[in-house]
Amino acid sequence: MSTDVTTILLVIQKNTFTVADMHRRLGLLRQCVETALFTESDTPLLQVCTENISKEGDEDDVQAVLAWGEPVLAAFTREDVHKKMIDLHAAIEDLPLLTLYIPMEFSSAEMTTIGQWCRTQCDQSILLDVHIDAHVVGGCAFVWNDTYHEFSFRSRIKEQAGVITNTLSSYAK
Amino acid sequence: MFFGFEILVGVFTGVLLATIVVLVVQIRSTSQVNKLTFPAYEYAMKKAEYDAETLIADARKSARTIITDAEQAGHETISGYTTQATEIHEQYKELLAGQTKSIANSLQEVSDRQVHALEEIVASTEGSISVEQKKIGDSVLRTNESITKTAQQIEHTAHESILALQTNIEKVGKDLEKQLHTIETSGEEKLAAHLDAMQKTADAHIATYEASRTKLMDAHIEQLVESVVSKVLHTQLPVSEHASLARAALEEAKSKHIL
Repeated sequence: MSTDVTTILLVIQKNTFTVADMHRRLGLLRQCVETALFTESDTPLLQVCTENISKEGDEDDVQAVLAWGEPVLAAFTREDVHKKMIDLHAAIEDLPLLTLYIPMEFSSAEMTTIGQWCRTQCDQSILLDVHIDAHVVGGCAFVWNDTYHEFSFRSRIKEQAGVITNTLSSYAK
Repeated sequence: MFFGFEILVGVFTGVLLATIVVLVVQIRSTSQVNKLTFPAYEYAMKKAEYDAETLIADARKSARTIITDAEQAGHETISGYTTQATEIHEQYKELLAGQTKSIANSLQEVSDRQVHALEEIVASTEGSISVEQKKIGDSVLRTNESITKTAQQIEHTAHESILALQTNIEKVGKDLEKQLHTIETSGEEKLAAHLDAMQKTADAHIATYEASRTKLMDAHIEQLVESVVSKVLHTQLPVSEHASLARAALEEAKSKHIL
């Protein structure tokens, strides 16, 4: 992996915390960069990319990609765009992954908060693989180091198994 | 009777002669006769026939006379025989009555003698019976005395045997009582031990059953509470609160050094 790819990845990681966001935004980036690179125009590359990105994707993704700025958008040439994209995907595959199960879809800001917390507390380059599972309501579950851990209402009530029947039994006595 | 036989002989002789004549005529008529002499033969034959018929008619007449005489003589003879038979019957009747009377008298005499002899025999037999009866009475008395003596001996022996038996029975009873007491004691102990073991087994089964039922009830309650709480949390809790709870869960995992 070249240094450029590492730099690009560091920039991308600053505002991208989930695997889905990462692949979706990289797709958007590739589409816009390739359009800008292979279209004859007198306009500077960065400006063309910005204009293309603004036309594609949803608002969050557009803002996130635009936030990457020149270090990312101007890092590709016609010759190396393909290779760099492959390298980027390979680098992403090598990142530490936390598979996270949440009860419903959270907003982007909430996911950002959780992602930042994970990078602060667990690993600087961690990436979240988010899944929706209604059973983990009242908390979340995750797979870390190939082990499933659950901190939901369901797991908590299982930890307190017998409390209700013991209470009922003592009340009956 | 004798005349009847003579009549029959006469009839037989007449019939024999007539038959001989008829045979001669027949023989003469069947031999070779000249046709020229036939009328003479026919005449002779006719004459012979006539003579024969005359003879036969005479014979019949004499036979009828003889038969009539014989019948008359027969009637007379039968009448005589009947009279004689009646007389003989009367005589026999008188004789039979006399003989019957004499036989009855003889039988009566014999019967009287036999009765007398029988009475004598009965009288002597009664005397013998009285003697024998007396002997039997003596024997019975002697027998009764010996029976009484024997009964007394048997009673004495039986009394002694009963006393010995009672002693033995008391001894055996005491032994049995002792053995039963021993068996009862050991049986009670065994029963108590068995009941204790059964009680323990039953208690263990009840405890296991209670634990399994409690566990099952726990699972049901847990499922019920979980489903209710999940619904409530899903519908009532805002997304931001869910996110807060998820973050808190991650912080808890971090505090437990899982992350």
